[in-house]
Amino acid sequence: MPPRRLSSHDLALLATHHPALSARLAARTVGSPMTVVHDGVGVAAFEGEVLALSLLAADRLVLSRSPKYHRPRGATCLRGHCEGCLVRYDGEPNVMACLSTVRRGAEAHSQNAFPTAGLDLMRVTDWFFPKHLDHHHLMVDFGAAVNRTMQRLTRKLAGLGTLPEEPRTPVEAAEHTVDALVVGAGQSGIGAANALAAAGLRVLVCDEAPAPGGAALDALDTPLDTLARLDPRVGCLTGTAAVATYDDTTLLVDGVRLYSVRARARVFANGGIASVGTFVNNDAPGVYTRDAFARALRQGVLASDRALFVGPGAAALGAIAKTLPHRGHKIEAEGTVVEAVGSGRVKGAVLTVGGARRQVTNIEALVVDTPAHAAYELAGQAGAEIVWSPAMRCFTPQRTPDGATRVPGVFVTGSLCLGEATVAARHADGARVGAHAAEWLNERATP
Amino acid sequence: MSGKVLVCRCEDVTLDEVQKALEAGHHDIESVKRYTGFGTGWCQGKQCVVACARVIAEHTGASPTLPITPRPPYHPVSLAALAGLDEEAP
Amino acid sequence: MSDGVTGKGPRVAVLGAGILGLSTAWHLAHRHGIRDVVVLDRGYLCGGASGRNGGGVRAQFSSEANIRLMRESIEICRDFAATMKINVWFRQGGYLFLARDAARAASLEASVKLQNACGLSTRLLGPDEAQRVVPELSTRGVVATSYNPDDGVVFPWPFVWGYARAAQSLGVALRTFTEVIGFETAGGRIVGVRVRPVQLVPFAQGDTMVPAGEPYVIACDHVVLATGAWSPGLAKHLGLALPNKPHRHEICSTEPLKPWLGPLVADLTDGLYFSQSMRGEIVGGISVDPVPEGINQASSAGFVTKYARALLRCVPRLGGVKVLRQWAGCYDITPDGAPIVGTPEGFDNLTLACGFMGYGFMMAPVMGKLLAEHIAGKTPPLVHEWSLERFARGSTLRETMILG
Repeated sequence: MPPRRLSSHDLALLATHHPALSARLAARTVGSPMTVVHDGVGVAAFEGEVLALSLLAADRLVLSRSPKYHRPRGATCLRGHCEGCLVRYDGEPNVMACLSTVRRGAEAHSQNAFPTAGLDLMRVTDWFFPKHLDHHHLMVDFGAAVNRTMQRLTRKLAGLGTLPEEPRTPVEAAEHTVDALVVGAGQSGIGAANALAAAGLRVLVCDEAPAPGGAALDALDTPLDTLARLDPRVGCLTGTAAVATYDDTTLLVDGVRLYSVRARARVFANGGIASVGTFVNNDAPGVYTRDAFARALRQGVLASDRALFVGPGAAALGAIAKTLPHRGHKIEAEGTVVEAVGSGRVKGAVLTVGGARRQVTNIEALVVDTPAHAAYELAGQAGAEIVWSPAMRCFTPQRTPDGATRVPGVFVTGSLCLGEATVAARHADGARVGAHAAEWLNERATP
Repeated sequence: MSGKVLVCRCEDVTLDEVQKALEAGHHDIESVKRYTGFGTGWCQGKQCVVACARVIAEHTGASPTLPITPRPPYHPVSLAALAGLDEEAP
Repeated sequence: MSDGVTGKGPRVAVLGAGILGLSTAWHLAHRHGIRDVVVLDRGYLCGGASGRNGGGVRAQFSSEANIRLMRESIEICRDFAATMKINVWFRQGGYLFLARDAARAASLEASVKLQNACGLSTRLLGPDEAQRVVPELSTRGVVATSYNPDDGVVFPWPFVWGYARAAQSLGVALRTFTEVIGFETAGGRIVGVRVRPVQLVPFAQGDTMVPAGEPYVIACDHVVLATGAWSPGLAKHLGLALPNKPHRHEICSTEPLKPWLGPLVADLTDGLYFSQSMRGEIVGGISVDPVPEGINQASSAGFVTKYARALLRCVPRLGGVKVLRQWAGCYDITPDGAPIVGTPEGFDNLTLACGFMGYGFMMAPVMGKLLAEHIAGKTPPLVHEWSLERFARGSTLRETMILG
């Protein structure tokens, strides 16, 4: 297996051919080498590295098993939006490996698997129920006693992970009061936050990613110096996700501790969620969103060295990956995936290309490019009206041209409302909505 | 076509299962959610709501109207973190 | 307009397709041959309290009426899957009540005595014995507990679908997304229910109804009002004032874990309760006071904070366990804590079935049976005891074991 981590030779090639990616690689901090333990096996890692990436780099692909059918699962989105990389980590159940960093002495274990995630005998349920298991009517026709026995057995199989080993005492929340909270430090969030700060308002922006920038960072051909930067007057919490919003209070979490933020205005600029789409075996380990593959690559990890890139956006990423020698990547810019082939991990794919069916073999990853759908949930919790957008083919918050929603003080901006849009368009939308939010706040200035 | 198409990975809900729910007379997204369990797992619908809404729309011939009600929290939060909030919070 | 219904007897309109309305409709059709029944609901099945509760089913109450009813309800739950052909995942892991002071311990002891007299196998357990039932439980501050191994939890949704499907197969008509907007009366009797098709748009600060068709009238001989917290509002259309009030109660659910918790644990001090569902989630709630009166199904940070603190006091090892979802529903609260059932004076063809205090779900299997008997003309004694008129007389009823 060629190394999954980029070599100095790879880095030199990228510096020549893909300076935008090269700049991202140069900007990362690489810690000192260490070992993290996964299912009893030592895995080479670097201090501070994302656990899911350490595991991917070591070709430890199958991280968990699904709840009902015990289908193998692995990291798919690498940004905390799916369940594929849930592991028991440091004695705690259901930790997302893609949002955790490696720590000395901490061990990761696969869950819901007997005996291991790689070989789980409970997989028979998957084969026994080839279409789906109708749990509502399972064993209802054989009398009460048989039904009760089925229920007792089912209960034993339910659940992911076990109770934490140790108690954890409450972690006191931090409280912040600001004029405006901007959720999401992507291009639109930066635009909005900067506009609010320029109007003399106290602004806090949060983002679940380790650094501001947003989805533009995963567009590997976008030069870093064309991206908007946060005004230093803006308070910024990275690695901190907005988790809930109630009345005028929004809760953020940095993994361990909550921030309770009271803000007179809230601007949701939290973009979209990419999923892999609906095709047979779409949950197989080795199926990645385009952004996930890009995110790993800009951290110096090739999620696979024999990937099939499907769709126009993925094809562009594939072209970058193909610059690297000794790998067997394939590209289908126009195809649609019908099936991922392989029972434990991806081995091939079936596509339709221009109406014709095509079989692709000798791959070990499938990188798909489906348009992200708007992450409307937080804006919806805040009371914004959520509607279906036929153009975006997803739900989106309803807004006025100023970015206002039906709830006073709640604004929305960016790809959350625009869908696919250029970096410049997203930034401009954020700046415009931020300026309106500032105007709204200044009209209601508190004494 | 053989093999499972997973609409909701977290709860192992297949495309076939959603179609069976529609055939059983559950035609609105909240009912399909309850009957199949999609959107009730780890990701709380981040991955699956849009896909399910599209499947329902194809079946009923009407454009989707609403998603399932988005409930807090958006990301899972530990009880220890929640217990650290000020109890007088709204 | 025809509903395509068959059978003889009165034409019954049941308002509310929650568990109680559907159980009543099914019992009418199944036991009394009254199949000309239409069940109406403004939303989808399980959209009201029947789809928002914690699924607890227990006979540990402090009043004899509740204990005896719930004993029968538990028996129905045990066989529900096999008889109604749908799994409700009834798991008899028991209910463990905790008391943290002498007064509550004494009240618990009195309740257990009464429960034993009614045939329940409830036992008073010391803190150490309670910890043997739930080894992860911290019993610090607990002075007494009671445990009935026959209590349990169900998964509420299929219970609703089970009654709906079985009732429909007997000819009962079910109309969801149909809002009641008034009544037609003639000669002091209700002769019809005025409805309109709607699209329900949930909104935390109050659902809205978007008309989706023309209003029409469903003629009927009898009306059953089983709309829970929405009952006082609907009764107003008839000029009938009901004393029950809607009251928001919140609940939340964690990530699913492998089974570790047998019983539903309930703390009488703060109204905390939690159990482990068949899928493995910890599902529970707690009393929050004061909650502004009125229909409100929004979630709050105050609730989840109070719940998390109380839950960690009981099970410190849950600290690292994550909450996946919180939601809210409406309890239907009466002044004396007992339900309001039966036919109120001056409304000969109306049956009330509301005010169930947050335990209406668990009681519906047996209450549906009693209400159907009442509508069929064989009024059981309990229906008199729980009549609306008791409030005018001065109610003497009392129930102390209310949770959430």
